[in-house]
Amino acid sequence: MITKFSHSTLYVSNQDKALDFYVNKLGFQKRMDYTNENGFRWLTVGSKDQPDIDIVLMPVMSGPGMRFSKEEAAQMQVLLEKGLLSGGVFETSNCRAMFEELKAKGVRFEGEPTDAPWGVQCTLTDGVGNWYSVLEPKAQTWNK
Amino acid sequence: MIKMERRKQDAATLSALYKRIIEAKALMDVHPEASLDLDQIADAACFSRYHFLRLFKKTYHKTPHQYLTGQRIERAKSLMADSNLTITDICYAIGFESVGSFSTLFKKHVGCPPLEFRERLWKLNTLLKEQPLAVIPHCFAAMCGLEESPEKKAILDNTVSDTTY
Repeated sequence: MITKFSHSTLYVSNQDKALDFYVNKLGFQKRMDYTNENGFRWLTVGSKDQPDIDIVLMPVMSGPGMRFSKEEAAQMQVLLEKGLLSGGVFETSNCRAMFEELKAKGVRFEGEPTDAPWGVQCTLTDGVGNWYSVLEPKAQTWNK
Repeated sequence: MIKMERRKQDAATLSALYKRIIEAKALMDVHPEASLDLDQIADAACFSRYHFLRLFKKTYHKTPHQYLTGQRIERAKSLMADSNLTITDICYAIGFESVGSFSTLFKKHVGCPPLEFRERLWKLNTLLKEQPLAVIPHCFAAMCGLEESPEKKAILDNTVSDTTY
């Protein structure tokens, strides 16, 4: 019986840049960092408020024994370079304050925070292929 | 037109306000070990202490003290992971004056005492280096060409043969 979700996979165009973004800009923790002899680097990060969920910063690799063929890896790299993949949704206690803070650290946003019936939201990119929605949720009757 | 102008002004005022709070937060982020009191932190934001306390709590859902304590505990965890400093040295390095208080607070935040946390970290890092397949989920290892160790293969073979339906 599946009891919980433990790892989320995020393909990134560059693991060093990804680590810098998630740790130094977003304030996440580096959880695991191990590089195998074949060059595969197992790198995971996570929010300090979610100790049992790891985000795997996954490189796009091809070669013997790997999941992607050379062509598939190249296709994936194109999607990442265009920033087309969605990483998911982050939550924040204050979207506008978060926007000011991360903008000052050089994080790229698509527009400015806007008000919506469900809260205040904006969109940012991690610079290594993924965009996120960031939401300051308004308390709803069903999630209070 | 007037409404739009007013909205722009409100947004600009809010932006300037948040920038000041962020200045104070940055002080705690960069120097969590420094002996900072609320007046010093509020000064960094150019607010009175009570105004700053109210605004900070409204923005981050915790008081500056709670936030600073959290940053100190995170710094302690990093030092435990990345250095050979003793727990006592770490306690003083992050701005605590008593090892007892630090240990109690650490356990309250992390769920276990500092020494136990460090031992768990070291065990995990050793396992990751010596037996990575015991730590990395099998599906990731398989799709990235990591070879199975003879030990892991033996465990997997036994698991398959023991499965009943």
